[in-house]
Amino acid sequence: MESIRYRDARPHRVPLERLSVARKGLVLVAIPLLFHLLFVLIVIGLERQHRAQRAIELRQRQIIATAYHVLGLMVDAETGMRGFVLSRNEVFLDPYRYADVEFPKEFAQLVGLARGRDAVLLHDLATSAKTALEFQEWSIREMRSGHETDVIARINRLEGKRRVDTFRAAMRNFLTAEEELARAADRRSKATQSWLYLALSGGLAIDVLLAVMLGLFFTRSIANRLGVVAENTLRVERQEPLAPVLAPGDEIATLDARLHEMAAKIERSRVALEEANGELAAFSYSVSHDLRAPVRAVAGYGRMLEEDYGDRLDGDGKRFLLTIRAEARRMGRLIDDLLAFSKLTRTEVTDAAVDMRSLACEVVEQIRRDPMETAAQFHIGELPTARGDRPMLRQVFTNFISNAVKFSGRMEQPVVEIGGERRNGDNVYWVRDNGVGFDMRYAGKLFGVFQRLHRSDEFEGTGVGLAIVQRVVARHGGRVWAESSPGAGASFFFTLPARTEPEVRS
Amino acid sequence: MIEAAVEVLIVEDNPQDLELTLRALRRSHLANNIVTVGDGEEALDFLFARGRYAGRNGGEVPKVVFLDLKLPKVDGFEVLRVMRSDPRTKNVPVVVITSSAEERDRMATYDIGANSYVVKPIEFDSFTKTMSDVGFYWLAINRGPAEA
Repeated sequence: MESIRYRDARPHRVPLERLSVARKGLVLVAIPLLFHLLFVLIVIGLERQHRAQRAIELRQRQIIATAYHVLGLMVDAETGMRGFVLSRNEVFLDPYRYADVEFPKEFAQLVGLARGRDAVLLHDLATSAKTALEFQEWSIREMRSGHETDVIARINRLEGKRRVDTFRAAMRNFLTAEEELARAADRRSKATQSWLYLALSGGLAIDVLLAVMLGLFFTRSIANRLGVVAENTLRVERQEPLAPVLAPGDEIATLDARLHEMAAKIERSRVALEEANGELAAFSYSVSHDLRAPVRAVAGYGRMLEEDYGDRLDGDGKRFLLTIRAEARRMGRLIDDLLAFSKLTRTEVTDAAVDMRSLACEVVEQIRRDPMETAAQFHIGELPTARGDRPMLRQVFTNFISNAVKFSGRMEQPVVEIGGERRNGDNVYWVRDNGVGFDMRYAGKLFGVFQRLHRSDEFEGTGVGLAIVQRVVARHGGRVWAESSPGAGASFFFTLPARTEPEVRS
Repeated sequence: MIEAAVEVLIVEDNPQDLELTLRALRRSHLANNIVTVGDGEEALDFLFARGRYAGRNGGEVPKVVFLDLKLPKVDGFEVLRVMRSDPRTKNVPVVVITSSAEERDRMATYDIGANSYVVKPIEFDSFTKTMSDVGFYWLAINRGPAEA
């Protein structure tokens, strides 16, 4: 037993290739699916992070805008207060009055927005704002109460300005810190956005790469292997040696292994058949050699006995001798027919277009030349052209037509009709006679070797003729059958596959 | 003493076939100077004047040899092969007379130099006729290489 060679036996085979086809399919579907899932999760995560960072950035801008607003209100209040002090005109107090109402609201909002920030900064801011606002309030109150010099003296000593400057400085510190925070938030949000773009383009690239890799995997582990199996089935049909067995693991390898087993089985059968044919050939060879000689001797010695001693034999003696000679003749014909029959198995069937009508005419002419059979009338119809082995098909017509002539020989006017037509994709041919016919109960025996439906003393024959016909037609891929009833003639049919063109194989 | 030249050498192991053949030839008055042998070895002994034919004039060859294929000891193919390889018998006409209608036997014997291949008919009448026809042709009509 030769060792099995594997087509792709490599020591470090990818374990994926050993998976069953179902699992390979799962891999093909699951890997992109898992990747897409991961991809979507990453993108969603990044997107959420980006949104959160944008919110922080937005709040930062809001804080800064509010801070500037608060600062503006403080300046308005201070300016309004100073204008009033200088001109004693209440009109100058309009910005102050507005700021007096708005400042606490805005400042509270700012504190609310900046919750959690540096407490010292916020405290400085609140304290300095309070100090500045108290001085403004005091200045206006004292002005209205008529203590103008006191107020102007304090303002000239820059008491109000210093308080507002302190608030400004605290606010600048606060803003510096907040603007730094805003820039940081902006940087973070931009970075996240870059990551998001990277994830999108990278995911796309990985997707393409994955598709290529899985495509290769599919080609290598499924398509190519299936291709090998398909090629092997073709080789089985053409009886060529198969490609080495595929490495085991999946259903395709199983299929290939089965195919190899099948091919081996077919090969064994073929060898056995060849042996059987050889034995048959040897058998028929010895039949032709060894059986002919004694038959000839029996016939010959009978004849010599008749010639040399015939005058010394009485009626019975002569009759016995005649019987011996007739039987020897029959034996000879049996041997010849049997040989012809066995030869049919060993001969190749050729394939050529055969004009069946001219073939039938030829056979009829030949039979007509036999002086014994001149009584029959022949009708030959239109016969479709067949494909096959002309000499073999000639034998079919010869056997059918001579049978028809033989079994209609006792009719007053024997008629033999030969016809054919195309029927259901087959060419059907028939030979019909008006002879003695046969009982359909025995129709099954008609085409067997040495099977006869008539006694030898009624009609001569060896019982091989129709068996030959049957084998020829079977080897052409057709079939034979007969229809009859006793006394009403018989019809013999045979089919041949209707192929106008020889099969073309690409 | 003048010994009449051998005209036909019949190599045939079946006594019945031999008797039928001789009878056919006798009827056609062709049976003068016939030598019959029963196997291939004896046929070669006769042709090359050795063994029990040692005293025979070895230079003298028959006009024709009727050779059966299936013979004891040395078969017809071998006899024919030896004859064709020896200058003395190289040109002697050999008619293969056999029961075998096998194509491969026919091809094989022609391949190794048979002059004629005749299948023994089974029927006595045709057998007799065939044998007299063959005898008549090779002895009366055909002119062999050894004749003056």
